[in-house]
Amino acid sequence: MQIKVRLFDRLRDTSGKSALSEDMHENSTLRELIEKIATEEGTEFKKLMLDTITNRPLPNVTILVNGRHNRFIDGLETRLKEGDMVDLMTAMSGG
Amino acid sequence: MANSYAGKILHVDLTKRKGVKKQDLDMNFAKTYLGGKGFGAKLLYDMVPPKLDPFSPQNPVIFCTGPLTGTMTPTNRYCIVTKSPLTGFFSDSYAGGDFSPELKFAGYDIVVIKGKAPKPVYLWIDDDNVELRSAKGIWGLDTYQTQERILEELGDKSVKAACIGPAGEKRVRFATVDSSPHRQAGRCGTGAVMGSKNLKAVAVRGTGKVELADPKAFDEAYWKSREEIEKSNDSLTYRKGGTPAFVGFANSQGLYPTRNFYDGVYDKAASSLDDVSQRKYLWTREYGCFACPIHCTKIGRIRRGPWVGTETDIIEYETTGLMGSNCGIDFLEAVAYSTALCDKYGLDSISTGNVIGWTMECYEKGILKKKDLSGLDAKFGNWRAQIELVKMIGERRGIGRILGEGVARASKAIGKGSEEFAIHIKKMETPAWPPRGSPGQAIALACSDRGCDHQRGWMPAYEIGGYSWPFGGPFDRLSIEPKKSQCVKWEQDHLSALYSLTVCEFSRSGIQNDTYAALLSAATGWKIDYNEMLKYGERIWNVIRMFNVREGINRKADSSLPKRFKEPLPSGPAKGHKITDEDFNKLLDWYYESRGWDKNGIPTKEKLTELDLGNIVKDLKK
Repeated sequence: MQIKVRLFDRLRDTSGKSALSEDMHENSTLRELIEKIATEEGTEFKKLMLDTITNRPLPNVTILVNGRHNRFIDGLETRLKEGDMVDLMTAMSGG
Repeated sequence: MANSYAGKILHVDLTKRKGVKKQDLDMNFAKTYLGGKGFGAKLLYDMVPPKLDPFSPQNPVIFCTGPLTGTMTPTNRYCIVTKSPLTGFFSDSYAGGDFSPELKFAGYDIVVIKGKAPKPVYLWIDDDNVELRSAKGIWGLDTYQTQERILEELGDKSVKAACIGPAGEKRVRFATVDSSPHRQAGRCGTGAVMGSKNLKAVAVRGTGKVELADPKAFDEAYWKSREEIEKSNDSLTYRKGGTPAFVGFANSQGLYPTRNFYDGVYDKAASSLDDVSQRKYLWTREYGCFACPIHCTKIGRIRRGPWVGTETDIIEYETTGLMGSNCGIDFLEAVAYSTALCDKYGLDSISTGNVIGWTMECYEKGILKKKDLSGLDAKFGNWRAQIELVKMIGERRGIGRILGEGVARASKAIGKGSEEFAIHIKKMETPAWPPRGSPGQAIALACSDRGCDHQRGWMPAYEIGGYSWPFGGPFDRLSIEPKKSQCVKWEQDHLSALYSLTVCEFSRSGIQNDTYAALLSAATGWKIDYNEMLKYGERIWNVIRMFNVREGINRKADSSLPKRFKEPLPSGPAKGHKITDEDFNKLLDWYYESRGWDKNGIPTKEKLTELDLGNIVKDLKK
């Protein structure tokens, strides 16, 4: 299945991309998606996304599934489905 | 013991020939209201009788610095406090740059200006020497020309000035004050109050310095703050991309004002108006305000289109939203040019974009016709029409005579149902963070102390971003719960305290709350922790509420959410969501409860007494 991913701020700048389309197997979890992207997008990107020791997303990384923070769904164990939109950002502020 | 206050208030009465007086800063007053917003709030409360016309000579314009102004921390804004001609309520408006520290170096914490000069003047503060000079020959010039001419006339290019443009002179109710080097105190129409006084500018040269109570402790806190900024992704994002770095986020979440706030998603936003586009097509260099390590501002030059060569500032996030997507315009250079015009006329680009978006909707609905608009085909997306409308507002000609009154008054004058899509609260035009995709924002906007404002509480961080706040965790995006209202109350108190220190809010995402308290304590010699700072914030917020209560604010006024926000959002992740009256009233009840106010939004005697405001209890209606 295809999962759409949008990247913002430093994640976008580091990867040089603002959107990705990830091919995932049915029933994949958010954790699997994050690990896949972090690996594919290079070392600098991974450093911004994941804790180097625990391999878990850093606390200041916001991960939304269809606009809702993952912690209000099933966290990193949230099951993804075809057409889901995942947003990843490390900064959020007004202007 | 030394402390970081300059120790003087400058009073200027423009009506009198010898109207300059200096007064020592009362340290009890300073210890009660801190500075900036707090100083302005209390002075305005004491100086302005209820129902005073904002254009009355009696309405003061109060320039305030704070206890951290002039130090090395990113706390070098100033605030101008006055009764707003836009809302009729309290207003405080801020600008960075380098005007504020210069005022402090000249020896003043506060400058209070009242009265009305018989002919246009500007105020020249040269350390101890203060004089009013004729503004003949400067009146009528735009803000850029004015700054240049004043510096030329004074023969010193290091002089700092805060001035108005033609919009302020002509009392556009959302006119700005432009201060060195072109940072704008944007909201509330302060520039129009200066204009009503025949006051073109305040120029200042200061050669003094700011003392610190405990330089060693200050230095420690300072370097801690620097480390915190360098570790903050928010700060680093501001440094690289400025505020337009958040265009993509807002648009992706359905929060970006589009076609007069009809929608929250503009399909061309990221590809045309964000930081990447601006970096590629506009920016040529960076700019940092006095002592700020973030450098969020960029200076640019237009390289395409009919305006090639025009120097522009960064197009801030708000302006991309209001002058761009809200008018259906994706032509970056046209938005840059319109924004540069706003800066030169001295117009708030938020209110200007809002009122032009409304004009375009009126035109598309046939309420305003070409003949009403000097022949302009003012449909959404027509950047030529937008540019002409900015000029007409700045010069108060044609339809600009009405539009310069602000969207609330303009819609009342035009009628024909246009009031229903005039997007404002308490007559202040809604900024680029509308609430349908972040419902807590409805309360933050509705209960802002200066009208409809996102800088008195910003809920997307907690409702979408998963951010925690000191008294709780993040929120599920669309939930309606008491803690959201409590969070708004905390944001307001927090910001109220920070604005009293003249903090730039773009540093708050880096600098931690305890570090601000440590900086304040080391600068003043008072031991103030963060919890106490919050008490200051709450006290100041309540003084302002009482000012606004005297002007007639109440639950009904707080409940005047635009009808558009009660209709389903057409696009984005929160598609279909709206702010129902039921949800809004629940949030409002919880908000008043958390504030200790009654059901009508009036502070109680107990609350005022608790905040050491017993002296204003008498002003509560019996």
